Amino acid sequence: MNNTFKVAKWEIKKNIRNKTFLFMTFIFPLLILVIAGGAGYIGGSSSQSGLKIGLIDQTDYIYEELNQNFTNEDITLEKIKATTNKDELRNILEVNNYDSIVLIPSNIVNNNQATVYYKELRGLDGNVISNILSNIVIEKRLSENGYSADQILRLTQNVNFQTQSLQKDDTGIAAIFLPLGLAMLMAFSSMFSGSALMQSINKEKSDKLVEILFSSLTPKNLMYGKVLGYGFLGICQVIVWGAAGSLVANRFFDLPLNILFSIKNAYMFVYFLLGFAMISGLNAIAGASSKDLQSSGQSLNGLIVIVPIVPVWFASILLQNPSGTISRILSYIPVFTPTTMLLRMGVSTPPIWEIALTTTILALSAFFFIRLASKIFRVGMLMYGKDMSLKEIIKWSKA
Amino acid sequence: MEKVLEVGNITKNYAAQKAVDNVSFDLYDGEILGLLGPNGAGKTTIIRMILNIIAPDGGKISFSNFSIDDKSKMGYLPEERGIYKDTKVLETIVYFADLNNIPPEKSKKKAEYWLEKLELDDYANNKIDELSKGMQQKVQFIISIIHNPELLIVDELFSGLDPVNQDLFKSILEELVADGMSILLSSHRMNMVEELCDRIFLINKGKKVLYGNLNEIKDNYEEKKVEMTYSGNDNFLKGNINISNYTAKSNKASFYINNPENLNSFLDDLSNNIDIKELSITSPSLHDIFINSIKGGVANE
Repeated sequence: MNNTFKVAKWEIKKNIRNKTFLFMTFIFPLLILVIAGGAGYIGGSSSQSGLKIGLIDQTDYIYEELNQNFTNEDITLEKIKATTNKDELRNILEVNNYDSIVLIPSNIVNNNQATVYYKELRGLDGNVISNILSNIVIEKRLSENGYSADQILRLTQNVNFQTQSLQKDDTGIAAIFLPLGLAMLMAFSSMFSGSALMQSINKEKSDKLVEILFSSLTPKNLMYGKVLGYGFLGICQVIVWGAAGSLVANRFFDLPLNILFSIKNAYMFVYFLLGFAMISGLNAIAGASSKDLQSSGQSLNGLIVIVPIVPVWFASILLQNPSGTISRILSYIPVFTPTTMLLRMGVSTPPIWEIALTTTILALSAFFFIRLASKIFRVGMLMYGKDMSLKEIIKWSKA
Repeated sequence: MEKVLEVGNITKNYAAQKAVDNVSFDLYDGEILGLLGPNGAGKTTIIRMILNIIAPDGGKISFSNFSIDDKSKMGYLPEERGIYKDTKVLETIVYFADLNNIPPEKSKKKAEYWLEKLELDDYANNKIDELSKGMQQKVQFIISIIHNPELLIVDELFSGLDPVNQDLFKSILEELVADGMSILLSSHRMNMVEELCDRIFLINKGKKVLYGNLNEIKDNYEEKKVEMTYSGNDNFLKGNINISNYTAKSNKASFYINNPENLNSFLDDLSNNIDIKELSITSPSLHDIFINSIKGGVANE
């Protein structure tokens, strides 16, 4: 096996049990899942779970029909003795632990009036009962007027809304949030992996590990191996996050999972890979050229970590007008290309020529930065005790 | 004896400064060559050029049995003791062996042999961070020889080791040489160099100062070292142009005689002027030769 792959394998092995990596990869999406799931559960429960309602039925037929109509198991109906005395009602409510008491008067078919007694009104509970009650009363009126059961069903049928998006190759709301989510996580993953790569390179430099490494392999082997290793870890992270995100989307928003495997997402993955390659080159330069990250966090390498996510600051413009001038300009500035294009593709489908052009620009600059890094890497790694100046970086990049 | 390594007129410039200036030496099969010099003399630069980490600006480095690109034929224990901290001892050794083309199933056994020999067998699955500095140094040493290199370069092997471990490493180096390894030993421990090396290369400010057989260097060394006990005053010696490095304290003096060929007449003058109690004249130790040769030229990196 080539030394580059040995280094990559070593870096993967070393990092896969690293606590920060494990946290970012598994616990982080799990937290999101728990939070999203929790919110869904709480949201759901506040509207209709565990309702216990006392019913005073002065009509003698509504209770049976209501009970048949209630498919919702979270609502329990109990028939109680008739009274209109508020003190008595309060007492019944408290003793039986009812959420509310509904009074259905005997003439409800004519005067359309029922009363709900409550201590605390909860959400949409009233609506659920009111809708069903209305249907029962309307059906009652119609049957009293001589309509048959079939006719009643046809006359009282509700209108359902079916939503259909006019976007190409998508399935409604999924098309808006899933690609955007993917775009964001790819942008962040390449930033995280890139910054982890930089730290690892810089640590090998400041720990003087590089002496022993360079006596066993070439600087190129070392750098390419590390880029490959961290790239692989980044891809794993994207896959885990993507899978977690899709599961959430599937579970809570009812989105089909196959939307993940679209051609557009494949393009986005290409931007992610090329973007990561370019960011790796930049981060390798930063890691190799600074003395140690603690002392020089503000200078060159701080800048390098930030540059690729600059387009996120323009996110609102990019997302509102993905084909506007600013979006286009940012797309053609190599260091901004991956994040900009990922965000744009998250909300729109840019013309194919633009995808081709920006992909070419990105591929060329990834190649350029990786080559530049491999030139600066060896010199930077051996230059202990001081930061490389921009002048030195330029000098060695020409070497 | 067969040459393993030939360093021919190599030069390396850093900015305007000549870090290594026209240096040549050979390393023979099965010898330990001492590479000496003060801090900043250019030793590490020479070592890095031999290891093909950096390229010389001029001159040529060649090996008899392999190409300079074949890093697996060389082993290196750097002075800077950097090593992975959060990986385990055995897996780290196996990784470096793998980089030098020794497959894990082979290197594991060898690593276990060396760990036992260096009394680290109980720590094979400990994180390196949990080891003492001396132990970490042993792990680094194993890494430098695990692939059985033809040429081993050790830089300050003995620093940070207790006397027992210094002796242990001394005997290990002798064993390795007996098994056919050739060693370039860079050290400031002159006693160790005297004990281990037949030949030395002394460099200062990037230039060769002394090179050759240690005994011959000592024999040819012009200045002889005098140590004496006397009574009375030492006015005769103060400022005497025939001697150098004069120091005196509580009637004990030491100095070098500049022209040993005039030794007899100098001793006549000395006995006429000072009441000598004890006197010894010796060839200087390597320590003295080192100090004298680079006197006034100590530069710091």
